[in-house]
Amino acid sequence: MLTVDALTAHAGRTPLLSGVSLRLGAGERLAIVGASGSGKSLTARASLALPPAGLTYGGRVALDGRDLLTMSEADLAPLRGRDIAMIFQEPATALNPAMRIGTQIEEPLRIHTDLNRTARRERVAALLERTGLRAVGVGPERFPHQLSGGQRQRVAVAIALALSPRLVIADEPTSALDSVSAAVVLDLLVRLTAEEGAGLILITHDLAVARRAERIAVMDAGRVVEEGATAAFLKAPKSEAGQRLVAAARLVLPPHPEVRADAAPHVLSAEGVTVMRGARATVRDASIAIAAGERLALVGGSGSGKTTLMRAVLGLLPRTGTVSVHGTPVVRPDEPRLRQTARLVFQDPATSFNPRHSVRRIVTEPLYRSGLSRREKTRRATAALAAVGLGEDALWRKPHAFSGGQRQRIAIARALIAEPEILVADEAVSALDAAIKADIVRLLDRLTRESGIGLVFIAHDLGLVRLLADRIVVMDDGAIVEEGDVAQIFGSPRHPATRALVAEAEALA
Amino acid sequence: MRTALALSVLCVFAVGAILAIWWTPYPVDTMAIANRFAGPSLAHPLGTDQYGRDLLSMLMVGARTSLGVAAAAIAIGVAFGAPLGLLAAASDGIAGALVMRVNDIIFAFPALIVAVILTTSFGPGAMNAVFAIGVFNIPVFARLTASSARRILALDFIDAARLSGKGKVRIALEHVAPNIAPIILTQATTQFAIAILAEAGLSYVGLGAQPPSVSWGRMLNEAQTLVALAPQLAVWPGLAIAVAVLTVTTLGEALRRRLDPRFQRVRVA
Repeated sequence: MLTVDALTAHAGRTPLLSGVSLRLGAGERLAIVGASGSGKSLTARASLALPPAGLTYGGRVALDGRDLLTMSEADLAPLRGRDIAMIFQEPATALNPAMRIGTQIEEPLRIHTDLNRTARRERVAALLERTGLRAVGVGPERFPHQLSGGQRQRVAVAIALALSPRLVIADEPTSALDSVSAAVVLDLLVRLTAEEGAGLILITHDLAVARRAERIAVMDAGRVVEEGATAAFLKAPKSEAGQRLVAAARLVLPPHPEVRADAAPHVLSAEGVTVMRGARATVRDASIAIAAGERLALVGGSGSGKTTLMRAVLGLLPRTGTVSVHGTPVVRPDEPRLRQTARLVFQDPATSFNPRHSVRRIVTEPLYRSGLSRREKTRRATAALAAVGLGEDALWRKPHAFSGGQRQRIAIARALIAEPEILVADEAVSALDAAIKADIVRLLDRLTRESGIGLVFIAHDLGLVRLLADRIVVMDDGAIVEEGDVAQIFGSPRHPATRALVAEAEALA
Repeated sequence: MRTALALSVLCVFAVGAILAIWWTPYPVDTMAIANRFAGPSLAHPLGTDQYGRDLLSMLMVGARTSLGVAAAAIAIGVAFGAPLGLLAAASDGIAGALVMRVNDIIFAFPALIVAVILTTSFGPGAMNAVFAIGVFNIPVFARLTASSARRILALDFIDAARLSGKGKVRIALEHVAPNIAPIILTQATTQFAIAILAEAGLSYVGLGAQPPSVSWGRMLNEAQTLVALAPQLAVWPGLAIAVAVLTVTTLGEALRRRLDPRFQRVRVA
């Protein structure tokens, strides 16, 4: 049905794609996987003949023998939406915030069909039913901001399927969602395209998503380096890029020595912490304690209060309750003792550095007021960068000169430089590609192993939690609802929120 | 290309204005009635006015007043507005709200009204124009600073700095100021163009520079009664104002393009 032949893309003189060829039969599911910058999104956009600004495509992209790249915009317009539909990564920006979702689902029907108003309304209602939105009480009269990320993405699926297209292209449809919503959306997408007999192209860096396809094409540096049936690829990837991806997904860490959490006095403990936002408590009466060398995972769906709790404990948010360091309560939230003990690594490496400062200045910031000489600070910065696998040449460059993974290493170096006893990592790997994610996880594992540093990591990816955690604390709606070691939580989850998380983790694995 | 042209035109204006502090081709405070309404000639490239004064010299002195008043007014706006905006952004409590509400009140008075108030209280003069336009600019910069600073303050690196034990002032100077400086600089050029117009307007209605001092707005005012007899007297200062505003606006636009990430070329993954 869709044939891509020797597709190229250029930005000015720089080639971004070279000789990409793919084939997709009617009703077939293909996953295009690869690291960021490998050209997978560009390839998908070519199938809509929708080049990003400043880019030109070459080669041939044919739908049922008609070349899309040479077609005029006027000829393309009826194809887009009716024959080919696209689902974007970011549910927050893909929908019009000022339009009711019913109207947005109805829009393609109004443009492309001559159904009357009643028939269109019926179609919309049927789509809300099929995407399971009706079942959770979401009607056509809602606005996007009243929905969760996963629900919005389900609306995007409904819009894409409104005209029963023959091909659906989903560009990272689940990477902005937490694991529970991701599984729901992905299931839905696969089931509905199969029901409609539509072809599906899944663009992703995550093999857990890609395995839902029948075939996988691996892209690297603007080329397709490998293509084959999903099962065969997962078992024995042939290309180097493919092997990297599979290895990252199958990350195995050596066993971590058991930490006697109750024997040793806790390095950091919080009791009865409550955080108010306006009149609402975003964290309610939460207690948490971390022993030296322990690796504690704080899990829960989005909005459950994990990040808020840790930020309050570290003194970034006003709170009530007691926070103690080595058993002694911290009186003022900005006490140096607290920040010397625990250090925070942020989720998004794009916003965690001042873009105008050099890496040296960024990494040495925690040594402010340490009274160390400039030379000593630089020496320590070099050592901290070395510990995260970066060379001395990184010192004088600005953060934008680094990739996402390297930036996260810099963020960890900044946390390590003041020699804390506990590292708090707030979703520190969830903004990263699968391969880079594995690198950073290995790094965190090595650091905790070698230096005996404690780790609190906030995560929604239970696969990662199972891999890295000694103990798990589950939060739901601002409260801690369950706590236990990995075997307990995964083996016999008690609270419904835990059960939901574990079930989805099993479904994705 | 356009930017280079605008830059060189502004340089000519600036050199003329600065030169006029010490030297002009002819003195502008002596009359030569015999030579009035002279057309362009080698001796007087732009001709003379109704008192026989050299128009080029008048324009140079006028540039000194116009650009000087505008620059001083913007300096006042930035010097008071930016710190107030930072204060408002950093203190989410009563202090911040108070600063912004006072700003709103000032904002509600047009520069012209402020100038009238100042003139009736202290008498007319160029200094009053500086204060009137300057005061009007304080809320402009305070608001811009506050909103830009709030955006920066919400980013993770601010929390990283707090966790390093840095105080509010230190964070404002080290992390916020350098990141919002380009935005303020760009706004300053826009406001500079508006200030040139405002100064001309105030002088034209007699609230700014007073005779015998010369400004573009005053030249327009004096030319107005003679517009049928000698239209060129109005054309030159009018042209000077228009070109100055256009030049500064073009430069501001160029600056914005260079500094605003929305205009930077999009990189595709």
